[in-house]
Amino acid sequence: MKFVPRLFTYVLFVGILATTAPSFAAVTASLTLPQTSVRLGEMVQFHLKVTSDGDEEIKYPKIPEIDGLTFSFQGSTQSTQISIAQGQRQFTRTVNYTFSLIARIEGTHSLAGFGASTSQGDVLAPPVSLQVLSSDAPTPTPLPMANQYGLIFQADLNKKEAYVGEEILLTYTIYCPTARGVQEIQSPKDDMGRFSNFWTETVELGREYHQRVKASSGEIYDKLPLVRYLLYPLTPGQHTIASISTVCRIPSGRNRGFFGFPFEDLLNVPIQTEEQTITVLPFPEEGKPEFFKGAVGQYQLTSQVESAQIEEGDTVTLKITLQGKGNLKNIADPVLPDLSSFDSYDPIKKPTIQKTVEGLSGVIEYTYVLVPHDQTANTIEPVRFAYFDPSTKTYTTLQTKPIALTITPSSRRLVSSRGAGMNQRVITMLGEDFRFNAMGLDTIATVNLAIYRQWRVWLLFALPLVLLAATLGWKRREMFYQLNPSLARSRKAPRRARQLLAQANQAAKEGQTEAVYAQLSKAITDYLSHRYAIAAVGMTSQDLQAALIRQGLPPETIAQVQACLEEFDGMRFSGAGQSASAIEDDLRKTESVLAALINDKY
Amino acid sequence: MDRYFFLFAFWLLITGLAHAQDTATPTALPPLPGYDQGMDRISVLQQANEFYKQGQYEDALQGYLHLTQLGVANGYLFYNIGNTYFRLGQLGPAILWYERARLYLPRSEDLKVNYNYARQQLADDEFQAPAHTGTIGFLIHLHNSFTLRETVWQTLAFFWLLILAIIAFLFIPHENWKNWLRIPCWISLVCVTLLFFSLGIKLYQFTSLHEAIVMAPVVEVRTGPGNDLSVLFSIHEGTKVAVIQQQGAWQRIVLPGNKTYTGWLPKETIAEI
Repeated sequence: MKFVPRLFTYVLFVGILATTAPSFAAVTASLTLPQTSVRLGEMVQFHLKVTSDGDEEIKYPKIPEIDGLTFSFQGSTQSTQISIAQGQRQFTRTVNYTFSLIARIEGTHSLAGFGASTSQGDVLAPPVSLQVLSSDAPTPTPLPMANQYGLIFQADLNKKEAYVGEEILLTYTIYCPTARGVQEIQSPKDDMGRFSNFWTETVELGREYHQRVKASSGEIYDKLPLVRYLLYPLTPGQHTIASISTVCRIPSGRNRGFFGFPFEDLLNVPIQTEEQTITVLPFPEEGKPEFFKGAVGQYQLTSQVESAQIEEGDTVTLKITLQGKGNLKNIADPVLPDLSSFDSYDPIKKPTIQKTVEGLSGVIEYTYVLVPHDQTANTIEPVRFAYFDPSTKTYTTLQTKPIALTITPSSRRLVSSRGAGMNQRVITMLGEDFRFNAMGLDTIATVNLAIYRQWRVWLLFALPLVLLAATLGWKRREMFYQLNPSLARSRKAPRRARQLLAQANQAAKEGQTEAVYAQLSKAITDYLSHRYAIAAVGMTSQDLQAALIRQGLPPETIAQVQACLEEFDGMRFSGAGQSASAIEDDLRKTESVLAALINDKY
Repeated sequence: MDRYFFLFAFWLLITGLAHAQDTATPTALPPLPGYDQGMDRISVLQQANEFYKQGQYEDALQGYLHLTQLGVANGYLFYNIGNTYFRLGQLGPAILWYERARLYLPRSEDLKVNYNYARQQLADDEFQAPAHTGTIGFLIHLHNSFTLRETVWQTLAFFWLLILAIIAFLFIPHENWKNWLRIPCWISLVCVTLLFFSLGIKLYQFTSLHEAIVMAPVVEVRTGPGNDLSVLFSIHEGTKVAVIQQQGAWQRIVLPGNKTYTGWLPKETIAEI
């Protein structure tokens, strides 16, 4: 009887542990070697990739000590991907460590013990084996026949048989005898038409180590990779990739003599690859899912919504992420569930794809905007995706988890003109779509963008500058006259005299004889006052004569001035009977006196 | 009287210069398939719009392109041509005409949406220049929000405002008024400085920067002007490049956003914006 409570206690304890256990992040490590064999003394670079699916911090890499191999750390790169699923942040942190190794002892070595230290302990990568050959061992892959100059142009396929959609790496490499040396290689005559049965991607060569290989004949060659393609077969069958050719320029080795051309005598040597045949296998019929649409590789599928709790009328943003390695650029979209209880719009597809020698890899994000019809549309059923994995020769069907939605009645209840209590729909942008043409007549109005080519525009730029310069000049002149008032008066004297003459003319037209003579007299005395600083009004005729003589005026002008002033003085008080012609004569006489004074150069 | 006449003549000169426009000489329309003989520009536009509505994109395109051949240079027309090419599935020409339209309509929301929509279809993930934030980002946004033509007029307007404010400052006798005048003086001085800077950049971009769009499905960019030289990288239809040199039938290009990607390609594989 005691057994039952004890069992219950165990079950309860295990249950509590299971429900309260912290969700540790999954940390994985993998090792990538570019080749499976090296020669003694040869250096090879390889990579250790450590990925953490949580907040886990990757502290430092673990490098084991292996007899016969010397490792050195070259550097590391780190990337972090943050995503939000069901309102929770998720981190994916990837650290890529690069090492180099130098083989010291011949034989087969296992590269085990590489990994990283984390708070959960050490995470180790699966071991990888490496064969170290003797320093004079021939290259494991036999090289094709060299031409008469010892040059080899090889088209190297990493596999001769592949399924439709499976990546094949094609590398064109030139092998040149080390003793001869190639000076220049022309780009191959590369007709992309020979890849008509393949989807092709060019892979960058990057910085590859200069390698030397020993052929079975014992000759040592420099290995010069030229161009590299990823091929994805489109149809099954036997496909032939035609040969390509190029020209290498190599030293001729001819004796140039003492007076020969000082530069190296080079020889153009045409070289050509051999034809390559690839057997492309069709997809096996066994186990093929009905919705399989040609995806090949290894993939992962996830789906999430930005918010699972929404109000009626709101939109749900469904984000589907397809991640993996394979023919990513050539695959169909994941199969959506029945969304008849939603309004759905065209998805926004955002691919992020990397190209490496291992193929295409990356992520494609699909964003769907859905609007539930009503509160009954409370579940988004699983999204499905099927792919063929050529490594296992099997089909895999991926399926996301169903997403439950909580749809509450809309809180945006507003007073409606059609009656109280109606739910007013909030206008929501459902998604971006292609917009329509502009239909207005302003479509055919010519707009000249390059108006800077018109002289009028430059004139408009120059005018304010001219205006400013003129203003500054005028202002400066005014300031000068303020500092020299006598000079200012002297300069203004002729204008002032002309104004008074004009007033006298006006008075003559109105028949005001006294006013005419008053203005004429004033015109002469003011001019003398402003121009020569002579207060003629209060002076006797003799004093005035003396003052004008001091100014160096000619005697006839002085006599005219005196005569006019004496005459006009009398007329100011007794000129009422003066005839119009006499007044006209006096006006002309005054003009002549003023002209003589103004033109005085002394 | 003379003074007023001078001011009036000056005002006439300024307004006349400001409103001076190039008057396009009307050109007779050559025969256009699908369109009636002797149609004027408005009728061609309306007919092309009708074809577009009915989904006859080839016919619509003929009409729109015909208008450009008659010398019509207008952002909305270029936008329509971009849309029509996109509907016809020709991504390269669509991007090309959207880019041309962007010179005229930098603030058009419709253009922005369709341009981004078309760019999502590009095979190449183009390098993006680093985005600026804060004041610099705001100034760059302002710079990009106006056409060259608009910037010229804005610069002129603020330049005139600055000069007139300075002149008024010189003439106004009251110290209190002068204090008030300092505000427009400083505002216009800052605006004029920024606008002259923006105008300089725009003039450089307009006259010296030759950008182009790849028209061929795939173009191999080589180390030099010749088919026998090595391929550096390949680019696809719709990708934007900057042309920096020309030699015969070859042009040297650089990818905007990453100056290390530079090389030569045949001239006929790209079209200048």
